[in-house]
Amino acid sequence: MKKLNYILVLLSLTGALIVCLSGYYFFYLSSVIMAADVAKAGFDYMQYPILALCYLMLLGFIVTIGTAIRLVYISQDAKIFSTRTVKHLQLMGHATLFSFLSCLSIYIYGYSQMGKEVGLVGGQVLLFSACIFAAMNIIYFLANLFARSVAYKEESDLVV
Amino acid sequence: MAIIVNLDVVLAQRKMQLSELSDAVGININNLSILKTGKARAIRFTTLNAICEALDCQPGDILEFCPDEEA
Repeated sequence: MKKLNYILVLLSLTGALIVCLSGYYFFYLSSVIMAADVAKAGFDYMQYPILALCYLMLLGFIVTIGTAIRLVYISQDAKIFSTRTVKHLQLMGHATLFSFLSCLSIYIYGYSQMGKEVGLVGGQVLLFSACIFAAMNIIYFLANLFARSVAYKEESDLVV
Repeated sequence: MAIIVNLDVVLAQRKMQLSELSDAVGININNLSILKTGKARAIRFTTLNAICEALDCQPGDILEFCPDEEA
């Protein structure tokens, strides 16, 4: 039986807490939308589509965080350089791509309905999309890097 | 790959088991099995030197190049 790594347990619990708080936060997103002045001037119909897109974005984050925590556990043993790690990183990349597209859709939808009135909140959503896009590129780079590393390792293992 | 490893032939000629060769050259039997079955991608000169010394043979007795045959 593997010895428990208390740091990893704490990391997992922190990740789970963040995901739960994010879900709780998005459940009451309508109040945030009100604060962003979406509800005025007849734009209150936008609340639920935006809420749905936020949940889709959160789904991507849940998959990404869960896979990342699992990767941290995998990294504890020598089998980190394996195709399993590559597949986990690719999954994280796809989940982050999904979140990026959801976040970008929020801005596009908001801009299409409100035009320039999307204002500062729209800019913040766009900036957040850019951050997710950067993270997605980094994850895909890591997946390709690990795929090359696994190939080199497998070839090296067959050197007698 | 067109390089064929005839380690099993030489072992049979010397009436030696793979495990005995592994003990003689100090190489893991799994690695020798990879070499014997033709799955190895490369072999170090030190390994080839140790095998030839243990089997009292030439590298050409173990390695054969057949460009027309498929691995």
